[in-house]
Amino acid sequence: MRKKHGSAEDEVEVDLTPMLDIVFIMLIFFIVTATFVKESGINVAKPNENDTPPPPDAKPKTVALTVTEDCWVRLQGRRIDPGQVAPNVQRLVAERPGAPGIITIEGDAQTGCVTEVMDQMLIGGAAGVSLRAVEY
Amino acid sequence: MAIRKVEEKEEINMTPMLDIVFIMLIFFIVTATFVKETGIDVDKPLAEMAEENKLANILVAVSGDGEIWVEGRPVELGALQSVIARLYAENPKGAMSIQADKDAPGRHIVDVITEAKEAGLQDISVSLDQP
Repeated sequence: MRKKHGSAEDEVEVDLTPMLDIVFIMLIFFIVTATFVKESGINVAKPNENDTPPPPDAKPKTVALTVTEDCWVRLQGRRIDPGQVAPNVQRLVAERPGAPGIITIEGDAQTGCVTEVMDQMLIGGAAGVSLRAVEY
Repeated sequence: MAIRKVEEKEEINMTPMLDIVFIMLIFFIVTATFVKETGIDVDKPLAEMAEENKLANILVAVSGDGEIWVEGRPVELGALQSVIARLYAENPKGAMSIQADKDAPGRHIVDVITEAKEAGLQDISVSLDQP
């Protein structure tokens, strides 16, 4: 038992190597598994089934249109081109500000048509879009 | 003098490197999202109003012929709800993104939305490419 002189001068060194090994392995694992999701899209909601239907004489609070199987849009009884939805929706939204859009998909209408109409509705100023389907 | 130098350990100061490594480690841990790819490549429609959705990590694909794919395998509509519920339980903060093919029947999207809502998911979006 040798009495230590000047023990304050002796630096107590912790061996960092094992920790470094672990940290590096974790780092490499997280770098390798890192996936940066690049998803973009439009948020959709399905109108709730249990929503109470508005009384028939009340002013409609939504902009509802139908996408037909042959990729046309039916809006208030008129047949319009999917590319012309935005100005029509804009006019309807001006009458009822903050109205969300509801798209009814008829039969086998293609996704491409439906998404174009969704896009057009949002361009026209509808506050969100929801989808529902009907049997043909 | 020369003998003394051999005894002295030439220590490189590791502290700055350790700092950087730790910061990188923390960054990658925090940003780590374990996405389960759907297994098929769909031809997504374009939309001008598509917004980036960073939280989307529950991915469901609908192929051109109406098949639903999750986690690299096709899933029947009847089994979809339990699959989505499991993914949602693994990822309670997650949002769902439906990757539907241009040619897929649109009503399949509605079917998937219905099942996802039954499974308790609220944040659902249709995946679209920005032009």
